[in-house]
Amino acid sequence: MAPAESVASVAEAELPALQGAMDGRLLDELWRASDAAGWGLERDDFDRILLDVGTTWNFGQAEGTVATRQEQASFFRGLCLGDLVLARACAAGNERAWEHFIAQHRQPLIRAANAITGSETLGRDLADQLYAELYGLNTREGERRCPLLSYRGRGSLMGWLRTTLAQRHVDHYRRSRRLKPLDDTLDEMDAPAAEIAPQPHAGELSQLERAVEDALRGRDAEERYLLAAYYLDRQPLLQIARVLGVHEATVSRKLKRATEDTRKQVLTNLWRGGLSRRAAEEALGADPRDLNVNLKKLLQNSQTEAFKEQATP
Amino acid sequence: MSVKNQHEIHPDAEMLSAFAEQALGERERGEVLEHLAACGRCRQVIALASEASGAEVAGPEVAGGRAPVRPRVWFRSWGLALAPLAAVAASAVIAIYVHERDVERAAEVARVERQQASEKAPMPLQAQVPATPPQVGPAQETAGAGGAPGEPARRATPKRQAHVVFIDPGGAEGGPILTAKEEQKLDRAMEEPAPPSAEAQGPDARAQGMTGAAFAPSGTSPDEKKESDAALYDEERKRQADAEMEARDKRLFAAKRKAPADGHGSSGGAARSGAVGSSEQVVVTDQQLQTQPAPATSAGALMRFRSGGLSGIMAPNAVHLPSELPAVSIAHAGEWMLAIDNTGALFFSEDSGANWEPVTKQWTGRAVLVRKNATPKPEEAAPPAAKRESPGDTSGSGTVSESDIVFELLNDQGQVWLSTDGKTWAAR
Repeated sequence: MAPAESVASVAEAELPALQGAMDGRLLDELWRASDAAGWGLERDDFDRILLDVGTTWNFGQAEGTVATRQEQASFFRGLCLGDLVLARACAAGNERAWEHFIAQHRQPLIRAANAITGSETLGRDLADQLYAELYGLNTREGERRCPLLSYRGRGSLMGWLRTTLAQRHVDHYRRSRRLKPLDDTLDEMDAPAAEIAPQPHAGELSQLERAVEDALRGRDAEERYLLAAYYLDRQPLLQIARVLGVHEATVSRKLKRATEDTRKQVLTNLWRGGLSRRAAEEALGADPRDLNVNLKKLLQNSQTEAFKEQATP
Repeated sequence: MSVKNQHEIHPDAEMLSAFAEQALGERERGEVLEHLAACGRCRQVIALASEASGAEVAGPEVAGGRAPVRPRVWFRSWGLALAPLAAVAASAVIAIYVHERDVERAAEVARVERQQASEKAPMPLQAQVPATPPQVGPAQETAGAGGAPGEPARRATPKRQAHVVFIDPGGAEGGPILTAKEEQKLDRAMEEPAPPSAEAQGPDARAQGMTGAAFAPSGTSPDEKKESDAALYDEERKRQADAEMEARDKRLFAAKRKAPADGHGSSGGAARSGAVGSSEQVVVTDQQLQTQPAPATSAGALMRFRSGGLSGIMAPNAVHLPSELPAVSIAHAGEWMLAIDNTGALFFSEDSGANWEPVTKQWTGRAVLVRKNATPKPEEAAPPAAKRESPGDTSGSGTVSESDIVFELLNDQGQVWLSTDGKTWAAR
């Protein structure tokens, strides 16, 4: 396979200046640790890759901040250098690197696709499609485009492959869901209320809507993520815990606390709006279907249906 | 990529993957989490990727389906500890086994040392024990091709010879010390082949067996032996054994004639043979050997017994000694009986084994063999004409009087003690 692209996007002219800004001993250490020479990479190519990764992420610092050498070292030592040089060697068309990639990742890729799709047929199709792209069968503007070039060593290569598969599957599902017939969606609609509850006043309802919106907006990102993942996505606690890297029980505690705090905040907002304690309690007992509150919209104010894929591999 | 404007731009796969692998810094993690809280699509992506990762960890067999995540079994966390635990347990078992063996051996050695120490107590006949005991007794020299004239070994009849081979793995000095387990093993092995036993043939046959009648070529009544199939079986086995022994003797003696004398009883010719430096071969005639040898002394003896007649071997075990231990050697002369149990203790009976009394130890080492022999008188070198008065005696000699009866006791070092009454013993 011919090299798809240069292994790094840093221009030749910029390299000496960037190298001067970096610790030479650190680059030597990383060069030895990565075994890049084993995959046929030159030292300059390796330095260029690292500089490309570092500048892309600004060494893990906020935009506009100049990273110190210590921060640079910390950032580079956090990279999966072995996976990074393997991905770049594969993108450069190194046959031995491809053999190693296939031996190492081909079967796990298929298994991950099977797990994501829940079907061996769909999983194999998904994996084969990605594998074909990885091998550089797709071209962009007349040039072969290898998605492996977008991998920059943050996290493992296998994790990146799994996430890429999941992205493609979700996008495919969302696209195909729009074509789903209405009959199938009828079952998913909420059932009517069993009995008609006493209707609160319209003023109270609007007050409640504002109180809920304010309470949810005041939650921090983690709490909103927990509430959305649990109540909107109906993900199990274990799955949420896996994503956050904490124990299932921790997720449960945090979720309970977030729910209670949200309720308290809604009550507080209602009191502040002029309702008495009893009236506020009664307002909380209103049928949610009477509220003109779109919790999904509140929690997911990103309009994700029309997302833009910035870094599609 | 940057996660700026995250409500419009999704983090790329690498960012989400790094977030799930906890590989992001605090700032980047917060940004991604902020996006995830608002973006259902990315939550779905990261949830699916995490699920696939979990399926990968769980194993390829469940990766294809949505296998439920089972809680960890409590003992899984002990998995790593089980291997060293098993190794420690195995080591402990081995150590206990080795320790038990050492203790048994130590106890056996201590017992033998006590016996030897007690032998040093003043005994009237002890002084007669030679300072350097001969390695072979007179009886062992009988089969020698060039034995000195006039020696007692010359009493052997030319018809047939019975051989008892003692193989001493520990050498001639210390003698074999068998543990109780080894002794029991040998006892069991002796009981293993069970052709028609002497007990099944009645008291007479039992007496014959016990006195080594199976080895007697003559002097016994052939009619009595053929009364039962068992007797026929014994005879047949005996003949086969004799043929084997003769063939073996020929080979052995031929080899010994070629071999240079080793200085130990070489005057006797076939005094020592077998494994060089590790075995001792004692050759006695059938007339001299009227008792059964001590099989507990060596495995070689056991092999010898197995290859030869078996009925006689069973007889010692039929005797019930006061020590409750199996008898390994029995001598019989009329109503008198002598028996050695597998610890080397000697017992004497005056009523054909009905009542036993222990005999005080007057010999060194461990008694392994007791037998009846005629008094060696120079004038009786030729077969005497006198008849035995004792009805139970079926030995091959059959021509000596009761007053001439001499019991011989052989210890594990090949030394011989003599007694005329079975109770008082003197070294030869």
